[in-house]
Amino acid sequence: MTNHDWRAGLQRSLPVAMGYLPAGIAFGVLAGVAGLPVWATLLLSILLYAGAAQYACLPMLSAGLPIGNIATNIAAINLRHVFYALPLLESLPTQKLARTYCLFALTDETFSVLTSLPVQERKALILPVSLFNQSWWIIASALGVLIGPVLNDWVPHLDFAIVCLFAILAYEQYRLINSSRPIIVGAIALIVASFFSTDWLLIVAIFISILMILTPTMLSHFSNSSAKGEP
Amino acid sequence: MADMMNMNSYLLYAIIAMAVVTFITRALPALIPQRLLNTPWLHRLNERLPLAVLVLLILTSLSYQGLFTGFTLTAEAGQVAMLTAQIGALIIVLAIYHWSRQLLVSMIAGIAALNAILWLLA
Repeated sequence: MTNHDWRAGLQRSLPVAMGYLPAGIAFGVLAGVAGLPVWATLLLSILLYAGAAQYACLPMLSAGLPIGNIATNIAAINLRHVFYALPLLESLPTQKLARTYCLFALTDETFSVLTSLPVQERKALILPVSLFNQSWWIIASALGVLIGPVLNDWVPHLDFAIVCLFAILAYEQYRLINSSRPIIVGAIALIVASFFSTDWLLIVAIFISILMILTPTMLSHFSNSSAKGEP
Repeated sequence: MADMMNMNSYLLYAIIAMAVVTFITRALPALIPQRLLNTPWLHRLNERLPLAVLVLLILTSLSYQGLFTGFTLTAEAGQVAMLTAQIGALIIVLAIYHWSRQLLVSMIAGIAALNAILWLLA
């Protein structure tokens, strides 16, 4: 039986609330601008619960892209999450439903808060922190839905906020990995993909990017094999 | 009415599909042996793909489509103005974020800059 520390969990989730409130309100506003009904906006924050992916899916949903296409794009955007549960596996709750929920709710922010805690404190805090963090996100989305129509009447070109957000996220990624190569990869992939299709433009471009990123790994793999005299 | 229902079921299925793939990426370490995740190519992708995807998302959001037909410029004046304003606004966003690290301030400045440049070019 796990003892959950709800009070400390609330405290640990407050810094995340400071980030989630503006970002969630912006999401609620922009979902309205994109023409999404209220139920779909809230369902995204409840079931998808992934900041960048929720912003990215708005133009795709408005354009009515095929569902398989959208899901693949979202998988590529969320690929980084594949590693998040690794350092937290030992800290997950033992109860099955709580365990599944904590895996589901492992966002960038929840991951950052939990991995910054000492290992022995994590088990009591992982469920409360996960639940409080998602609560902030859902409340913020609902607030955004409420103020969206007013804001949209007053400010023209509000949907450009998504592109601004992407630029800032890209800047943060660039600082993190300290390499501009992926920027060139993305640009070249888009030019090449433009020759193929329009409906599947993004997905083809992502596929080309993956090939370009992995080419050096594949080449060194093959040259190692041949150096060892393998067929 | 039928269109409305189709739209709603499209949205519902799209949201469920996105939720499922996102859950799978997050739960994968608990579902499969860890050594399968510890491959050099997956680490390389994890490090570089997000930035490439973000660049793609930015570029495909810019209104460049229909700017050229073949190699001749076929855009209307309004579209050229929009593209110019978008690029200008993004440069301003990045400069302000670089200097202030304030997400919300930078986004508001971006929308203000877009409207200001469009007004200047009109």
